[in-house]
Amino acid sequence: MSAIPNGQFMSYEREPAKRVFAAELREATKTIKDTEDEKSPVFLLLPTGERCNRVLIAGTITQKDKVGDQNIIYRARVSDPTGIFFINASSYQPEAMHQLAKIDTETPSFVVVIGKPNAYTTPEGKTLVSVRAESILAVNQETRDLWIQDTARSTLERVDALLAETPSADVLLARETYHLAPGHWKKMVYDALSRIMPL
Amino acid sequence: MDTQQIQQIADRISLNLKAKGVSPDSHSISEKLSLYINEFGVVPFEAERKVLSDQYKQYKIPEEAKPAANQAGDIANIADVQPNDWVTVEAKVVSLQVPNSPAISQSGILADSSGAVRFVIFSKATELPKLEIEKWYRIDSAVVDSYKGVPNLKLHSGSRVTEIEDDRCLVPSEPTKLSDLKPGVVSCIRVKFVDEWESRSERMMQSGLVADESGRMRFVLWQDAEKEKLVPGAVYNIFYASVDEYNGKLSLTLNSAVWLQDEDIEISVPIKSGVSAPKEPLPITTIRNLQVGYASLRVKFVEEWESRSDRMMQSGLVGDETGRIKFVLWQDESKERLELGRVYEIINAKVDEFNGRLSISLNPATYSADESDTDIAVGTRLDEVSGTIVQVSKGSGLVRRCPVDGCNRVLSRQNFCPVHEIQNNFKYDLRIKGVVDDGHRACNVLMNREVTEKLSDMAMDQAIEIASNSPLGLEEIQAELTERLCGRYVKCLGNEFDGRILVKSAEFIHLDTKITAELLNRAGNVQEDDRT
Repeated sequence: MSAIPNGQFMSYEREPAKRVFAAELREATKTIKDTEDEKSPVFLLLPTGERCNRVLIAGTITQKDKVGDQNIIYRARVSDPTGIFFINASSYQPEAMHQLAKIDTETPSFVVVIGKPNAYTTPEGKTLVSVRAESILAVNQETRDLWIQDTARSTLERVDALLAETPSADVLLARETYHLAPGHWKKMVYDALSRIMPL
Repeated sequence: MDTQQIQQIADRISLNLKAKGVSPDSHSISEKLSLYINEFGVVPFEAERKVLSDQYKQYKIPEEAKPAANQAGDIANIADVQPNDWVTVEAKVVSLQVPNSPAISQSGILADSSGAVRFVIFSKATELPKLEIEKWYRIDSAVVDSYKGVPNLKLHSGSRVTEIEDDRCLVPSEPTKLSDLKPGVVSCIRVKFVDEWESRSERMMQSGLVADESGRMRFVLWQDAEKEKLVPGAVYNIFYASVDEYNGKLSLTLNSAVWLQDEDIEISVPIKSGVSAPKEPLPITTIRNLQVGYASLRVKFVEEWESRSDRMMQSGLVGDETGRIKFVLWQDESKERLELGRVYEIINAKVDEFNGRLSISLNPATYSADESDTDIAVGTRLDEVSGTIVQVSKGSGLVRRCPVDGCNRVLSRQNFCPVHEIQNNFKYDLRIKGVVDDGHRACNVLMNREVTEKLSDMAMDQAIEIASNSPLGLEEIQAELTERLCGRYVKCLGNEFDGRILVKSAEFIHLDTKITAELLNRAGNVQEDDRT
C-alpha cells in the first residue's frame, strides 16, 4: 500500500488474495497489525514470509455443517492435496452463506473459496487457522488444477524470497517465527503438483 | 496413491467398523477412498475421516463413538517444536554428550527428517530407559523448555519412551545456509573450511572459519579423543552442529556433530554482498516490467523537464510501447545530454523507487541514439492482467442506460437518470464490474457487453429473459454471472484508466501440463537452489 502523503485520503486498495496450500496456512500462527488503530487490518504472516489478509483456495469439499439456531453459521472442510482448510460463513457473509448452502457435499465436488484467514488460539495454546468465506463456488477440475499450478508458483516465489540475501522485513520476521526449512515447502509443492501430473 | 496404500487405509476403516460390530463392505470403502484421494485430490487423512464418518452414518453408529483425533497427525516435527509445547516426536538419537552435572542422566541431540533439537533427561526421572545412540524412539509427552532462547526437549517422569524397531532411514534435510542459521541445532550445513586459527587454549582442539555462498562463520571443536580435525580448504557436510549465540554473534560448536568430506563440490565463497552494478550488459526489457535494480531499455525521449537543481543535468520522460518513466541524469562531464524525440538504447540504467514510483538514473548507464531511427509508438501496448475473477461486484449484469443522445448513464431502479430524470425508454446493456486478482494485485476491471457475453456464454437477450422470469429481477443476472465466472482464471487485455482496466478482450486460461512439468522441476530442484 502506498504511503499517505500529508494526511490526504489514501485511495482504497483491495488486498490481493494470496495463494496458499492447506499445509502452509495451517502452520501460520503470527499475526501482524501495522498500527494500533482499531480499523487497521490484521495480517496473517505465512511461514514462507508473506503477509496476507485475503486468500484464494481451491479443493474438494468434504463436509458441511449448519451450526446455531438464531445466528446461523455454516462450517465446511475443504481439502487440497496437502491438507484441509476450515471454512466458515455466517450471516455477515450472506453471499457466501447462500452459495455454501447450495453446494451438495454427499458426493465430492471441487470448489474455489475467496476469504479472510483468521488465526484463533485455543486456551491450550494451539493456534487454529480458519477462513471466513467471502465467496465459495463450485468449479470444474481444470480450475482446481490451475489453482494448484498458481499456488505452486506463488509458493516457490515466496520460498525464493525467503532465501534472499536482502530479505524484506516480513521475511526476517518469518525466519524468526517459523522453523521449517525452505526445502519443506518445496517438497509440499512438489507433492501437490505430482497429483495433477498425468503419469 | 497406489491400490496397496488405499487398501491399508481401507483395512484400518474396516477394522474400526468390525470393532463396532458391523461387517463392512471393504470393496466399496476402497472405491470411495480412491475417488476422494485419486480423483479429487483430497489429502489421505481427510479422506479416511470422511469415509469412516460416512460409514458410521450408514450403519447408524453414534458420532460419539468416533475415534478422537487422527493419531498420525499428532506427531510433531522437531523443526516445529516451540518452547512450552507438549509434544510427541519420533526421532533418532544422533549425538550423546557426557553430562556436565550429576543432576542430568543423559543429554544429546534428537533428530527427525525435519530438524534436530537438544534433549535432556534428569537423573530423577528414573522410569525412563537410557537412550542409545543411532536408535529411533517415539517419545510421548515431552515438554519443550527454552534454554537461552533455544528449544530444548525435556524428558520427564511423565514422558513415555518407546523404541521404534523398524530401522527407518533418517533423510537429512538439505543444507541450511549459514546466513539462515539460528541458535539451536542445525541438521546439515555444507561449508568450506576457509581459515584455521591458532588455538588459544589447551581445551580447544581446533577453531577457525567455515563459509558457504551465503557467508562465513566461526567454529570451535573442543578436545575430544573420538573426533578428528578438519582439513583446511576442504568442503564438508556437517550434521547436527550446535549453533551458539554470544554477544549477538553466532558460532558453531562441532562436538555434537558428525561430518563427511565432500570432494565433488566446490563452494564459491562470497567476497562481499549487496546489490552492485552488473558487470555484463543486461538484456533489453520493457518499462512495464521494470523492477528496482538495474535494467536495459530501448526508449524514446518524449518529454523534457526543466532542471530544478544545479546538480541535475537533464530530466524528463522516456517511453516505450508499454509505458513511460521518469529519468534523471546528474551532472557528469563524461555524459552527453539526450536529444528530444530520438530513440535510445540505454544499457544498465539504475532503477530506483521513490514513493512507490519507479524512475531511472542514467549516470551508471551507457546509452547511444539508435542510428536506424525506427520510431517507437509510446504507450500503445495494451495492459494485461491474468488471474482469478475474485469478485463480480454490484452494478454488474443487466443495466438500463439513459437513451438521451450522448448520455448513456446507468439508470437507477426507478429508471432515474441523474441528469435527464425519469427515462422509461431505456436501453439495456450487459457488463461486468469486477476484480481480477493475480495474487500480487487486485485489479479492477470493466467488461463491456461483448466481452461479458463471450465469457459467460449468456447473450443479452437470454439475460433479459432470465431477469424478467426471476423474482430477483436484475439481481439474478449478477448472481448468475458470479456463479459462472467467479473463481475462474482469465486473461484480460485492455487500457488502464483511473485504476480500472477497460477490457477489450478476455479469455479463459486453460491448463498447460508443460507448466506443471516446469514447476515440478523447480520444486524438485532443492539442491541447486541452495547453492545460488
